[in-house]
Amino acid sequence: MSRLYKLTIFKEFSPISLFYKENKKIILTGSLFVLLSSSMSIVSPWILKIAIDDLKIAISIKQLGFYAALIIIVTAIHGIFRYKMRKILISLSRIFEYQLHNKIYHHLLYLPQSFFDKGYTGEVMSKITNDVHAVRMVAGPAFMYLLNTIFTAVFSVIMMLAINPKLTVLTLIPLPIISISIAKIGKKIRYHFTKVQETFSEMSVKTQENLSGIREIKVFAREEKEINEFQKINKSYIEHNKKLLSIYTLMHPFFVLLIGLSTLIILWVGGKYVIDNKISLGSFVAFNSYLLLLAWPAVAFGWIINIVQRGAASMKRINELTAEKTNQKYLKNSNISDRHKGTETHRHIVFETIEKFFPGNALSSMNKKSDTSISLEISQVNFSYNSHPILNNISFCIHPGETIAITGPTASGKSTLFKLILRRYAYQKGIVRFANIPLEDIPLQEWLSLIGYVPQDAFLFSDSIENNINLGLEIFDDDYMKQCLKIACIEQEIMQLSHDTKTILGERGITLSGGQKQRLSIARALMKKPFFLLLDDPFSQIDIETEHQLWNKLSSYPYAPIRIISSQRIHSIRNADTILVIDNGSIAEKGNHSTLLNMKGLYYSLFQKQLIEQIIKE
Amino acid sequence: METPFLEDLEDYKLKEYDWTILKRLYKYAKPYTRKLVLSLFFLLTASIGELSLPYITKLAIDKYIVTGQFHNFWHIILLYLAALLIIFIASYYQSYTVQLTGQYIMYDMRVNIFRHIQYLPVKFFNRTPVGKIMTRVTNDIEVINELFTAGVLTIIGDVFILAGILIAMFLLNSYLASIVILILPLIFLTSFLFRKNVRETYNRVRFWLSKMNSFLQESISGISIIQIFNAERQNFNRFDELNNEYKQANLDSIFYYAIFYPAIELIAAIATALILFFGGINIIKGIITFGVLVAFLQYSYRFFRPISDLTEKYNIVLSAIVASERIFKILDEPEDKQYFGNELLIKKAPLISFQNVSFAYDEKLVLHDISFEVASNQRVALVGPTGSGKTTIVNLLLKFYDNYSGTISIDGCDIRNLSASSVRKIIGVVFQEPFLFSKSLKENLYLGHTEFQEYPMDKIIHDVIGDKFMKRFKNKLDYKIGERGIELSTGERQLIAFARALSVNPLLLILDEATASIDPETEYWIQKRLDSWLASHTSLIIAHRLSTIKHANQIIMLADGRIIEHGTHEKLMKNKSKYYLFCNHFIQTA
Repeated sequence: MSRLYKLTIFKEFSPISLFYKENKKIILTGSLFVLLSSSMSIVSPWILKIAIDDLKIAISIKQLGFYAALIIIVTAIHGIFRYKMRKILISLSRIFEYQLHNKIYHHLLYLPQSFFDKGYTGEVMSKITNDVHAVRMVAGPAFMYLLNTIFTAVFSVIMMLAINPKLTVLTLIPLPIISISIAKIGKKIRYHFTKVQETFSEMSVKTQENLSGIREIKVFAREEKEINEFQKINKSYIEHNKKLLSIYTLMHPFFVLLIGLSTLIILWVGGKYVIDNKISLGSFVAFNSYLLLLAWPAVAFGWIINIVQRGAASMKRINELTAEKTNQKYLKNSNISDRHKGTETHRHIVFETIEKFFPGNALSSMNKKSDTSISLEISQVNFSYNSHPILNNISFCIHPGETIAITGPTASGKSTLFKLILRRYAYQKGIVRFANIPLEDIPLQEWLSLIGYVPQDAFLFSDSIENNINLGLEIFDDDYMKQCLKIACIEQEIMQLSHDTKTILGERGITLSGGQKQRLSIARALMKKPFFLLLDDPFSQIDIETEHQLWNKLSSYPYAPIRIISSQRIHSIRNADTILVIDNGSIAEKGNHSTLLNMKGLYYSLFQKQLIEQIIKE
Repeated sequence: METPFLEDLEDYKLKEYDWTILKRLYKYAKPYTRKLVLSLFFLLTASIGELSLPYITKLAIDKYIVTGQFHNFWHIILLYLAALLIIFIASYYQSYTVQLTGQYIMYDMRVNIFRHIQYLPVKFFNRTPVGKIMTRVTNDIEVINELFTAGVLTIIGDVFILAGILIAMFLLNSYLASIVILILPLIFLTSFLFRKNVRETYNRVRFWLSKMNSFLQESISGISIIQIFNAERQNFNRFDELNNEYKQANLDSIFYYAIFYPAIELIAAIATALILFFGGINIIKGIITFGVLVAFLQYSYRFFRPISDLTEKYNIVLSAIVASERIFKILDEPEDKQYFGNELLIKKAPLISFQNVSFAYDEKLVLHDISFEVASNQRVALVGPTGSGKTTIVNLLLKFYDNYSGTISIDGCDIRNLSASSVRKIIGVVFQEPFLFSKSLKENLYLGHTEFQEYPMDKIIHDVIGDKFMKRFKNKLDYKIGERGIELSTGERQLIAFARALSVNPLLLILDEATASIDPETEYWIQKRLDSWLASHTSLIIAHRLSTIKHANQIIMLADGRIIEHGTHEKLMKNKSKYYLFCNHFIQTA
């Protein structure tokens, strides 16, 4: 059982051993300094021993001064070694921490949407902060102290044996008790520690839910009850802590007691040996010093065990995260590392075809209006999320030069359709092809590089406006950026800011109004010179006048031959070549503005509603 | 939009001595003074025990070992053993009591902050992200706990041991003791320099750590944009920069730690050398005994440990101060005044009146001069396009906000003078998107109750939920509802919300688009049950269904925060007014 447990600990720590292997030289140098420093620590007590023995017989003041100076010099050298060992090994653990941070973050960046939908933000955050910290403690301090402990213990025991083997054996009798009790106590501590952690997370869950449902709590006047329930969890937290503490706080005093018993043995037996002239008084004093050198390792050992156990739990949690598959289901032909490579052949077909007909994704260079060879074709697509059907049998086709609009009631599946085109999720049935190639066969990043996307909520980062707009672009083209800002009708407002495009936005772009954020997010999409422009309800917070201007400017935007817009506002979509009306996940109506009006169906009633809303507001 | 609760980076800078915060922290420790004093007593006992050990060794050497007398030596052994046992018991008791007391203090703080949060105004929750509050209640309090488990008392203990050693040394030999004293300024200088430099790098570490964390948080919430814009590499590079700064700050602080401990040890070695040299001379001269020399060496060994300990604990104290500052920031948020006020004592369906009510969430008015009355047992329907202010009227009636002008009254009592709880107690509300707790069905239904009574819940389950839906819940009251009721359909969740609202036997029923997103079948079911309830209650209904609206005693039509039409269905339809248009296009006639 315990062997199995040890094995799993080592397996979990494989990232650390891998790192050590990569930095073998540094680890060895660091360990060498640990060895040197431990060996120096046993010199001073020996000098003391000689000095005291000499004092007992006869000694000149000069000689006494020499011994005193020697103690200082030896400690200084010892200090240099200690400095080196700490500097080398702890610094290395900081580099390990740095690499682990990067590794986790890098992994996170390539996880599929479905992972983030689970809403583990808090957990991921705590993994990258608390857990990495706990693991670094193992990789650095715990490793260093473990070596130090072992070396110092070995050297001290050697010196003690040199003074008197029998006394050494007698003195060391209490020490195995320490090791045994560490093993026994450690298990119990781990058990209670897990219990404490569990209750703690129960407390977090309670708080989280309380805060999310605070409206209900207030309405049902439930505040006191909530407080009571929170108190209850807290009480059981304390109960578990009580059990943990009763053992945990016993450890240190217990070790001190055992060490004390050893010194007692030295005093008793050693004292008798001095009287019987078996050892000198100096040896007696030195023996005490060596025992104290041993005492520190014994205490440190408990501390190390504790750190390693916490570290193992943390390492396990991190490994779970890094084991999350970045491999996305909808990339049928590729695994993790292939995500960027994709299949070379298809990349060429897609890009060659586009280059042939639309050099640089430009609309103006289009050859024939209805070149069907590079159209986007969605046929009989079904999608359900967590077994809730969302889209049902969706089919349509867009040719270059066309604008398609999607409309329909809230939650009818409009945004989901965009997300499928963006390949955030895999659909269960049907197929989407571009230039006759199934989307799954096009490497994801290549595919996304063709799309300019304006999401429903204009998410901006707390970075400069410039960096926000150039998101994902490697070369910043300032002139072109100004052009895009102009098209998005936000250039003037930005130029009025104190640092224009260099202005730093607040968290989630909080310093801007909703309309400004939406226009910036439009500019961001235009910056990519995309082949597709996907606009998901992009004008919801922009007034009609500005929207009108925006449409005018967009019509002269030279890129994005295929445009798809979703909106509930009829005036935003009435000019589209084709309008799809989606209701309950299916296409209910299809046509252009006038044909749809003639149908007197869903589109017609939407149109009427908006007319009347206008009248009511006036 | 309301201004967000932004965290200043200054918050992470450590202030050296902030007495007001320590004083506030002390308030939490005060109820446990007795326990703390007791454990301080045990701490001192343990310290005295520790101090006695070198002295007992001295006695052993001088009286027995050097003189070669072994008779009665067991006295010394017994004394030593007794000291060891005293140390063991006292230090165990001490550390257990202190740490447990720390837990109790954390308990008080946690419950206190949780209680405080319950009574904060709705406004606070609109501008403070849940995650931020979570950190305060959990992590920050845990940091303060460190102050108790590793800090405060041990600091007192360390100081006591230092003083004790000095006294013991002077008692043994004042000449040697004053030589050791000469070393003290060197120690203070070293730890002062260390503290100063470490604090500087420590600030940098915290600064970059918090930058890294907020970048991470933002990356996670904006992950889809990052991935769609192929910005993974770009973002990774930015993270790498922050991570690198953080690493560098840490590496810089290693230097100080790496040099501090050897420096203290060197100073200790100088002390040992001085003791050996001057002590040795005195032994040659026959002024002191070997026992005194050995005791001095042992005392000086114990002297330097507390000093490096003290320096290390410095950071724990500082971070605890920062954490408490952030906790106190929330505790200083004023509680919702609306909880204070008279009790509303009514037994019958009340009369509700709005008089000239205007309201703005921040600057823009969302309600303009709203006046209407709902008589007892009347049903009023609020209609109008989205954003016209219907829900805001409900929010005001529920006393979620108080900065409105005009008067809202229940049975003639101005609700400003009534306590929020007593107003809410007479109201049953069903929201469009009800929040269900991840507990059992039973606990969700009894949300408004203080205890589980079978009546009227049985009747409500029968009347509102019905057998068919109870089957869906496996006929079990302890059916576990997933987090936020995710396992259930909108209709099923809405049913629970209805039952929950009606179970408190409300005198006023508010339905805020309660049936808007329910499938027709469930809606029909709810509708049938509802009509009988509505007849005997005052109710305020925001709805889109003609049958619900038509039977209302009065219909209030809102647009852009203003009442534009007001009257019964027949009257408004006759006028062929805006309501007429609205009905024809917006209202579901089924």
